[in-house]
Amino acid sequence: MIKLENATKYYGVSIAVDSLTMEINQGETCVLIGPSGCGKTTTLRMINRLVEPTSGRIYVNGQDTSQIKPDQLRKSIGYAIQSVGLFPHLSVAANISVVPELLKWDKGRTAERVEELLTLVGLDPAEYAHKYPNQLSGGEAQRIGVARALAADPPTLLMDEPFGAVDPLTRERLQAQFALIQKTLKKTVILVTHDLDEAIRLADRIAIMASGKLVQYDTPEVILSHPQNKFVHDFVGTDRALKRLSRMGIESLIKDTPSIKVSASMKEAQAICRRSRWIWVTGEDNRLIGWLDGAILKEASSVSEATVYGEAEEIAVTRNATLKEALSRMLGQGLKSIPVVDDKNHLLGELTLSDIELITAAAETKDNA
Amino acid sequence: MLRQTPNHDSVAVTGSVIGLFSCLFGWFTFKPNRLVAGTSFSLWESAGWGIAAVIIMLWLLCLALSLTGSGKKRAILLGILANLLLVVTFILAGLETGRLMAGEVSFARVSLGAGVWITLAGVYIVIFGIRQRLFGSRIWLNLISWTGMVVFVVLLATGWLNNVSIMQEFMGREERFIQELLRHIYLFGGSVAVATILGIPLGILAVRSKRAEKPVFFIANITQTIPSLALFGLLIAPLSALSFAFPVLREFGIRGVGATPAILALIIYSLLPIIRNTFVSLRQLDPAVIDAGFGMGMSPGRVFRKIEMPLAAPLVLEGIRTASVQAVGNTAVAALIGAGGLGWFIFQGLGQAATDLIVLGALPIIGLALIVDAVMRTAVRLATPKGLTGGDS
Repeated sequence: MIKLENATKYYGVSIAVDSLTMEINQGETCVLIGPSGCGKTTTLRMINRLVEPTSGRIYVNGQDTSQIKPDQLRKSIGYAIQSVGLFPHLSVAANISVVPELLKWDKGRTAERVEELLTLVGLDPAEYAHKYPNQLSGGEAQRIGVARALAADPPTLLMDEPFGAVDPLTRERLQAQFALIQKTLKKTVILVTHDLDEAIRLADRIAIMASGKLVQYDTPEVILSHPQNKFVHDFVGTDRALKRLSRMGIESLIKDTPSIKVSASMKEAQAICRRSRWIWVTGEDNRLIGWLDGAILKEASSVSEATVYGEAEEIAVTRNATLKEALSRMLGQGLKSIPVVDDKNHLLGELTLSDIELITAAAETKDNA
Repeated sequence: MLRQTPNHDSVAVTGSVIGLFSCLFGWFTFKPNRLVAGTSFSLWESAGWGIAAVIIMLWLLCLALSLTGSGKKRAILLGILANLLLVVTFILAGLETGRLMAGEVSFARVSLGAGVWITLAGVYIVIFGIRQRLFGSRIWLNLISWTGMVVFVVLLATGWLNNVSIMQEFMGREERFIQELLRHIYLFGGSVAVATILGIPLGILAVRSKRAEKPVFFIANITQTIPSLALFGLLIAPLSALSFAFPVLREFGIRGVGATPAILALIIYSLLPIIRNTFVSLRQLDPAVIDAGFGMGMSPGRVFRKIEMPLAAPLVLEGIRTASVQAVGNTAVAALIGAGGLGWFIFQGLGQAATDLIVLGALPIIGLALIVDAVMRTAVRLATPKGLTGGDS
């Protein structure tokens, strides 16, 4: 748990953080967001004393941070930053080992931990451990940055735009991966960002800041449905309804759908086509490989010939996708339904546009009630 | 190889043409004594038409090879030819000077003419040109770059070149030469060592403190604008005043002339490259890297030792290299204020209009500069962390 009590920071006469009081619960992800210069990064850096507060107190796990030596304090708090700051002269493994080394772990334990962490962030230890930072792509470097922050398994993690310096596609993947990791690790995370979508996606609570002050501190749902004032209202924008979709998973909306194996006979296919014009086609191993149009089937000689083939990554969404992703894919491809697959591309069912409409309408009425 | 190579090597072509021109000049000059002008002999006049033809043929072959392609095989062949020319020239120098000196009195001198020097220039231009084509194979690169030097040293040691006038000058002053060579090394080496010990902390100070940055660079820069001779001279007055005021200082060698002002001036000259490179090496570090170090709980000392030092080392060493090479040259001037060193031969030679004596001082200074440069480049290479060399682990 992290507690700030009237934390204040002046730079000369200008005030960066103005008497900030807030609490971050154990195991929660708190996202600090606001326009640039609002004091969010200063707030973050005050927690591990990279910036000393002018006045006020900050507690990490009940301990007043001003009573702990800065080096000591920082060793117990993971730290990841936008520009990553990997040490260019050290290998990936050595970079991750920095904090374990500071804590004087023995070599075997450190090596084990490096392997574990690389696997956790989805990089093959055999391939990556001995690479140097200049051999990594931007996305890989940021993943190593996160792995390094997690190295000594600190209960608290400070992240300053950890997914900032990569292209949007990579950023989305990193966010999804981080959300997944956080689900199991349950760290207390304070993350600074200027990307509202990222905040909505990752946060248990969002702290909106403006000119050094906390404007609203609540769950994303509440912030989107009940912005406290005009500033927050303008900040979250007019597409609030759409943004809320990214807080909703699709899992509860998945329903069964007709599908057929590519090796099935024409007779079976025609039987299904009588009930539905579109059928998802799977391979022998039950992986999604494409779809079939009833109209084409009539002129074809086999199921395989009538199938329109497509990569599962292109035509389907995974079960842990958000409603926003699913909707955007449907709109993009002009479909009224989209297949859902698990992480091995096995077909689980489908999601329809009308179901999405129903659930958003329900959420809307609940808010207005 | 995917890269399209040009179909000729213009540097090697230039070297070959220069080499061919050497045949137009005199190769050896006979003087009854070392002060008169003497008679010049061309290549064919001294070595005969046969040898001259062989040398011209070798150069034409070089020219043809460098005009018709720029592959690696050609480079190796060119390198072998260039070294062959070098060895032939050295052997000829020994043979012909010996022949011309036979039966002459000890005042007589045979010096190497423009033709020989131009040949050496041509050979090394060719070698320089083909070096970059051989970066792939270190063995050939080193073999072609250094064989000539090794043969030269061996011939020198065996006395083959003893009849060359420069060697005659050397043999008359062997002890003095070694003494001045060691003194030269002591003067520049000591100065650069002191400048390093002073310069690195000053560079760090300039990075860390905004207040110190301006004065440190103001002084370091201004000293560079004073010509070396003037700086040597300028130090004479205050130092002699000092030693007059406190005669006890003279016992420690502090006088207006001699080693003290020379070393002081050389230290002042060496400071700027070292301070500047230390400053830049630390300033150019990615602030995010330092921030990450502190953010993970490293102490300031550890950040300096584990992050800043290894990342800054190559550039700092590069500064020491610049300072060293520069100091080797500047030390030559130090002879003027009585500090000694190889410059002594140069100024003696200038005073007596004895070219050979000048060359006796100048050649080892060039050699020393090249050796210091090579040693420091190796040090820079060894100090460069693996992750900064652009690639393969």
